[in-house]
Amino acid sequence: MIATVVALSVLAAVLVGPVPRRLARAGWVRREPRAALLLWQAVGLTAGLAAIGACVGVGVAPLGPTLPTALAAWAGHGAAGHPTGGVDGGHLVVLAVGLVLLGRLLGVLLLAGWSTARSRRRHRELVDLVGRPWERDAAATVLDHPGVAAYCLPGSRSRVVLTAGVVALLDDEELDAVLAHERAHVAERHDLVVLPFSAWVTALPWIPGVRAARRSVARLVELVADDRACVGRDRAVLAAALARVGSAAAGPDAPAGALAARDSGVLDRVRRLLAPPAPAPRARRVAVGGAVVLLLLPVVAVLLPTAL
Amino acid sequence: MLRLGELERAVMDVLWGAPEPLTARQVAGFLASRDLALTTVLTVLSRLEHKGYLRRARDGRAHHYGPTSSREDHVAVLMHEVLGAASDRNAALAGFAGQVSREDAEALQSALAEALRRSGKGAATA
Repeated sequence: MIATVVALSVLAAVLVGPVPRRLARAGWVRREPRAALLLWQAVGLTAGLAAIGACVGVGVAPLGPTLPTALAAWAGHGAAGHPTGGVDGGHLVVLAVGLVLLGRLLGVLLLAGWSTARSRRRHRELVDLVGRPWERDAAATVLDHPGVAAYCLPGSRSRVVLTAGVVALLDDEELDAVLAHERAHVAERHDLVVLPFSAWVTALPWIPGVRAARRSVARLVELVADDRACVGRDRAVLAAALARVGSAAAGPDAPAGALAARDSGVLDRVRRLLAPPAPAPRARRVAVGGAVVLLLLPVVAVLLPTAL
Repeated sequence: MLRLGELERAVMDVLWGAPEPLTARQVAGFLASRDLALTTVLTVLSRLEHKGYLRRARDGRAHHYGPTSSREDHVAVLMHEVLGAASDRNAALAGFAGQVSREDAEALQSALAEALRRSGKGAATA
């Protein structure tokens, strides 16, 4: 049991601290954004499981030699009528921390999913009422507003929305590229990829690694959508669209304080489109392999004492 | 489902275009080309009222329906959700391009010139 708890604690600490810090700064991720996304997901899931597992392991340690047997004993005591399942003192406190963490991570995720779905439904309803189908592509909706914006409402009844401002700013070819970018988000359900990371920033706002993860994931889905939008298309067209929209957003009306915080890496995306970095197959293989290993590690840590 | 949504749009268009609240019969009159039953119009009106887009007022024996907000106000709310600094961008996934810093804006201009040159449009439109 001690081996399990130590292994899970170290794993959680590494995945919350140094790993996000390094992954957020890694250069290869803009060459292999898909593999990087997969690795971030594995890091997030394994970090959570390891932290919860370590707490629960310490909590139920007196009840058995391995985590599965101790947990079974704890559940058995609970079913037999012991309110704490036979755990007391410091062990009980740590067990409670683990269970609260589990409840908080799941609860915040469910709440974020529910509130996102609700506000998205309301937004879509309004878009359908006040928008009009775009003349060139009726699947896109145009809002009569001078602001420059293009966005999607993902989901089973998805919408891609353009403002009159962006339609006036870009030429037809560029608008097609923008639509392809937004449709890539919709097709690959990037909203579901980003959701857990946003939710966990809400749940654990004081952990820098969690914030770094959200920033990186939000940026990586943009790179993936850029790449997908450029299949069979001149990358310079999407680059031009992006540069125009980004420049419009930096207009004199934009509040100075909000600028740095909202910088979403537009300049880097434009440069990446104009000078595409070579794929990094070795980094990709390491990232995918690393993701698989990460997902297996908690299982190994739990089963370790049984094998010894 | 699509047809109902389309009817809601048409009814809102009528009421946004009207100078004052209208009765269901008047709305049906504006939509005469669609040949709708009055009960259909009433159903759509009460759905829209239930969703908070219309307000109903009793004037004598007839109910008059008017929009709670102008079309422009609704658009402004949507834009605030998408572009607003306070928004956590719940509904919409992050927009196509966010704001850039002033330093980046200059670099973006030269990148734009290069993009236009490469896509064969020259720098004239930059």
